[in-house]
Amino acid sequence: MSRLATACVWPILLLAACTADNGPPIVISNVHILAPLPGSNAGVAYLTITNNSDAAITVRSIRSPQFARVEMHETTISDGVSRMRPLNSVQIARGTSVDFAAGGKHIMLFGANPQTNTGSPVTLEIEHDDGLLIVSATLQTRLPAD
Amino acid sequence: MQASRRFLAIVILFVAISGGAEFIYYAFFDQRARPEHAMVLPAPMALPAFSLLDRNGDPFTRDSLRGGWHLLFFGFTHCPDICPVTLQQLALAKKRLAEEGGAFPGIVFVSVDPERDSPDTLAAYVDSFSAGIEGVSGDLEQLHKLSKPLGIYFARSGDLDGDYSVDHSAVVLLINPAAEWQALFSTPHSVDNFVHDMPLLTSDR
Repeated sequence: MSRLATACVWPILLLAACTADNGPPIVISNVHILAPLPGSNAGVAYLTITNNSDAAITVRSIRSPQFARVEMHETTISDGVSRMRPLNSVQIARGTSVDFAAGGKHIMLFGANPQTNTGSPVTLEIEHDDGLLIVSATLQTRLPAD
Repeated sequence: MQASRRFLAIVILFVAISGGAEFIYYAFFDQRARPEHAMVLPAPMALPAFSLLDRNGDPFTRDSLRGGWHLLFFGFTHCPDICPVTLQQLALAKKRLAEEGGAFPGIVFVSVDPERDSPDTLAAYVDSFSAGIEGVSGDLEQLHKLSKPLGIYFARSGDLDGDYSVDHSAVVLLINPAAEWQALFSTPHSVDNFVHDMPLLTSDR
């Protein structure tokens, strides 16, 4: 094997070793939990789930102690028309990420507890077929300006 | 016969030269900026007559849109996703242009969910994005009078235990001061797109 080829392979092996043995198998990032707007009955949560494990995972349900009901939904826009439908589950293949983001998959939060206000902590318990992911964030009023 | 052929040849030559010159002018010499994101209608379309209620419960009609530029966006307050994002983008674009000394059309949020969106509800909702946004709605017949000629679709979906969603067009329509539909922003929307195009779209009247 040439020196150049060896130099290219080493970083890949190191990365694989880090992913398989050291890094967390599932990572949640970009968490934004938004309070219901005046007049609306639902808040919304956006986040990214990255599956670094060696198998696909399926998110089956999400709960929150601060909200009576949590549902996964997906907004699609086709021919300029926005449609929102509930999702029963979301599969994340190994080595991939799924974004829950504005204009796509998102998490709906219904029935906030009376003591849940802007600035208070909100916990999401994300149940998948291999365990439970727990993430907490402060309840915001808006997404950061783009 | 030969004279008419010569005349025809001269006409064709003239058209070719003038067309070519026009192309060269616009391609290489006309440096005026043009809208890059909105689709401008070939001819503005007069809005149909309709009668809705504004955020104060007062009549909101075609005449309410005369005399100034406006943006219409159709949605509903229980929409957790595309409606707040779009209204936030419009509010941010308005703020950015105001900081540069520019004007921005009046923003009108048309609720297609009159069952849940009363004037009071709409007022509280639109005020959470920016002061000065109008929120209007009315009975379904009047909403359809406005929406159908503009190609705006909406329909209730997913009724479950009294909760439901509303499928709806997510475009933003630009209405000129003569209460005519002038241009259309298709999805996906962005603050930058609105900021770039709006002064160009509203500067010719």
